[in-house]
Amino acid sequence: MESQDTLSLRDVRKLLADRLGAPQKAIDDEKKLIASLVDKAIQEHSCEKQASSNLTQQASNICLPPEIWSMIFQGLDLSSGIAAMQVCKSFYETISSSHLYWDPLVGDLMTARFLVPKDYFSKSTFTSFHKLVHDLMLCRDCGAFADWPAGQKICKQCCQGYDAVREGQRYMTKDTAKFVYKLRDSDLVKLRHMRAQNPIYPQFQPMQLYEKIGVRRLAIERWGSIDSMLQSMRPVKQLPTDRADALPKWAPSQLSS
Amino acid sequence: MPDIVLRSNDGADHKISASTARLSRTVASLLQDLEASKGEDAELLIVPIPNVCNCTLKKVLDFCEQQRAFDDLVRASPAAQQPEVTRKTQAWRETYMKVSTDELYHLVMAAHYLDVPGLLGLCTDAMADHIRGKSPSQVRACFGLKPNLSPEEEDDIRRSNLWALS
Repeated sequence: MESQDTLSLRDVRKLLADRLGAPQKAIDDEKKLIASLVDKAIQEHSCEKQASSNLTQQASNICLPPEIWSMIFQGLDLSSGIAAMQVCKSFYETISSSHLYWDPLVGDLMTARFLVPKDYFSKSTFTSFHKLVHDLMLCRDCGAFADWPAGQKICKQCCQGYDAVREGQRYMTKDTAKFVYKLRDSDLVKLRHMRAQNPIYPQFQPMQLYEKIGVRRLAIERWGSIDSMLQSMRPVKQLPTDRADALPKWAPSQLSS
Repeated sequence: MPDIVLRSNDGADHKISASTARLSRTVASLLQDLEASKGEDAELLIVPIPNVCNCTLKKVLDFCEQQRAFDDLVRASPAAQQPEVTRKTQAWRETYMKVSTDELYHLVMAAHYLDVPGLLGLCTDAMADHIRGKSPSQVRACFGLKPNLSPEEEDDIRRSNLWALS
């Protein structure tokens, strides 16, 4: 409401110039108007000044609700966040209790330090850092957080478990894929795979791990359905009946070649 | 829709259009309740805002009006001009956020109380800028906080997070 009847100085001057030829009474009215306007402006100014001085007094003790603080801390990078933890107790509690940055996971970041570029810490925000840790530190297969040599993507237990097909596995080795789903190398070329160190003989070629879902989908595409896949055997060389018992029943290397 | 008047705690009135006022969710829900109980009435509403002072309310309403203007602009302008509009908004916000820490504090509180979503995010970002790259004692001085951690606790925090700072 105030802003509507406040005239700028130029408007007042224009009004005055228009009324210069007018009778004395009109000019007096004008002067009164200007005086009241000036008074009002001064009053407003002092009111504002008073209000801002109030602000400085209150600022000696800034207390925001914790949910706002946690919103603020979200925008911080790691080192600033750690500096902020040392400011006071409430800061420390807010930051350390916020699951966003401090998972039990992030507690063991000594390992992550060797995996990420050194300047990463100064650039990243807490949240993106957390995401990166998830990517780097978790087993791609079982999702567990375990100790392993740097650069490996799969935990030890999963790594050693690929000689058999287990429940809940997300990956399988190339040999198993070829054996179980009766696929050839040329079929598997389409799929993306991951390489991991051979757990038994490190000097051997790395394992090639394929995602189970992908392999299964490929098999259905290749055979029509899982049932027809089970029924259709690869043509195995007909063996003389007396020698058939001597051979192992399932020899993956023979079947897949 | 009739205009409404927002009254700050020191008695200053601000007249704004209802659509602008609705950017504040607190005011919007209040208006909704009122309309539900009374129906559409043409008389001028006076909404008291008890814990926001005059200057801060003025600043918040500034933001609301600008935000509304930008929203309208975005809706009206063709897709090709959208980046131009967002750039303008960004520039305006940058100048808008050039305030002292005290003002910022009051602005955050007001934005939280009035529940203006865009403003709250803007303010917390600005607050984070105040903290970023500062030592704990500098942050304390900036916000007028008192250190209440014992030296042992402080030492503990520093040591357990040493790896990130090296």
